[in-house]
Amino acid sequence: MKTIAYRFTILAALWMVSMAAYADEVVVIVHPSNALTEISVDDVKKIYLGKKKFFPGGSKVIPGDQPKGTQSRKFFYGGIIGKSETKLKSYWSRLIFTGKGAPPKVIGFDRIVKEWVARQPQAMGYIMRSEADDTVKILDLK
Amino acid sequence: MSRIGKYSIGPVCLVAASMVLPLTTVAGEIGDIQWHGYLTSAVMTSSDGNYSGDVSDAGGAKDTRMGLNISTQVDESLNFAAQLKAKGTEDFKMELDWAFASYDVSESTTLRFGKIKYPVGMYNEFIDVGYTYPWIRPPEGFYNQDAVGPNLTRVSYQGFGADFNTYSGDTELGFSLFGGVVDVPDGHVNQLVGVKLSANMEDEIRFELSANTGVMEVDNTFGRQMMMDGERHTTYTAGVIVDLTNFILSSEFGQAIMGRKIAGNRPMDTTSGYVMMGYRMGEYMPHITWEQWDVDGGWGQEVIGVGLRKELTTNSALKFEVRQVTPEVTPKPAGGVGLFSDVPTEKDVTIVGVAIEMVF
Repeated sequence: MKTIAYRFTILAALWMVSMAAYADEVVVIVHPSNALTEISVDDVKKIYLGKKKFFPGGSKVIPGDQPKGTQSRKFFYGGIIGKSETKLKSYWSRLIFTGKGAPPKVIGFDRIVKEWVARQPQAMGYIMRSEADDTVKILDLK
Repeated sequence: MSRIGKYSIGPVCLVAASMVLPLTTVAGEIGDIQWHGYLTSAVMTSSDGNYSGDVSDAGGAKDTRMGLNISTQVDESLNFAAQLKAKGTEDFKMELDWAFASYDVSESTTLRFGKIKYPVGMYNEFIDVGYTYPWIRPPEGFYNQDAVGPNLTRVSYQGFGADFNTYSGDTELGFSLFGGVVDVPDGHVNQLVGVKLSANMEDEIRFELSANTGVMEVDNTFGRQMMMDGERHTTYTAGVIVDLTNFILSSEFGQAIMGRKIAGNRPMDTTSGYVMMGYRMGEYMPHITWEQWDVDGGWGQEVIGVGLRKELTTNSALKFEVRQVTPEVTPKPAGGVGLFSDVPTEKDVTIVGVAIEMVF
């Protein structure tokens, strides 16, 4: 029993370390005209969980999502937001079916999200760092 | 309500709509429309008696239900949302569950107007969406609206709601004010007004306190319900949900004080509560629930239940549940005992159920 608990603890620690490392490979992006250069992890969480509707500073934010199964989504929700797909579904169901909120719009994969953010001044998205270029601005997470 | 012969076409309309509408939907920006839905397919049977008006030893599938939800962002501050539902316990008639406009006055203040789900009880606003909770039926001593004895919750009210939210560190603090009118069978609850205080710590620990009051207006000119005509009743509730990675605990207690006194006491005053604990092990979550429903008149009940929830996909789950219901011995004025419409011959009645829940 002690061995099982020990192994479980090691596995959990490894999972958390790997998610934190992978989270570093996902970047939060906005339109190049956005005045922000950094944003707190807490604000990103609130924006993607529908608890915050404006960028720090006051303008309206429209978060864009990726479909289930993408690597970016897995790292973003596992490493930054901190919710499993099941918990996320349960969370949004409680808001949707009370009329109190709706999940971010699913835009598409990395390239589609990047193109959408580049066109939409109010947008926020997340993509793998390797997919980012100067058509979008990467926000530093603090 | 459109009907063909004795069959309701409500569910058919909902299924057809849910199959067609997602093809035309996008969401998130102004003018976009979001469609969502839920589906529960459930069967339950009792070892004795007719429980809650719809579960008998012959079995039944009256907990089967589905709903369709629409919402749209009209502009940066104005949102409209509505929900249709069809339930087996209501003969599968399609009806408007709720529909309201909400206006974001600021990041922290939202106003609502229309037909709004009653915000008392931590599960009541989404009580038909079985996917969101562990049980097939949330504890009925707290959530059931029995014909005899007050209910702690009501389905929807017509009126207004105002929500104020702020943060203290990582804790989200909420204050809600609501008021209006509730239509109940054979009457109305007028002058309804209530408040709710809540605290949410990163969605892992949530607390809620509420109080509301209203005045009954009964259309009947006969029977026990007539006694409540013009009487004010007041309800208090307190609840907590702890939802950690594996462990989940949910507990609520409530008291409803009815205005009418008979022979020196108020026989319809109610105290009810429950405690549920569960533990997630991968896709499986076994859970156990104890619940109590006390009525001053002496016709309450105690329930102990165990259940198992298995996640099938990220939007569907299978549930299995066994409950032992022990009603008190004093019969209700309208007949029956506890939530039984007759008096069962068994002291402890076993109720077994299985359900598949889905949201889309």
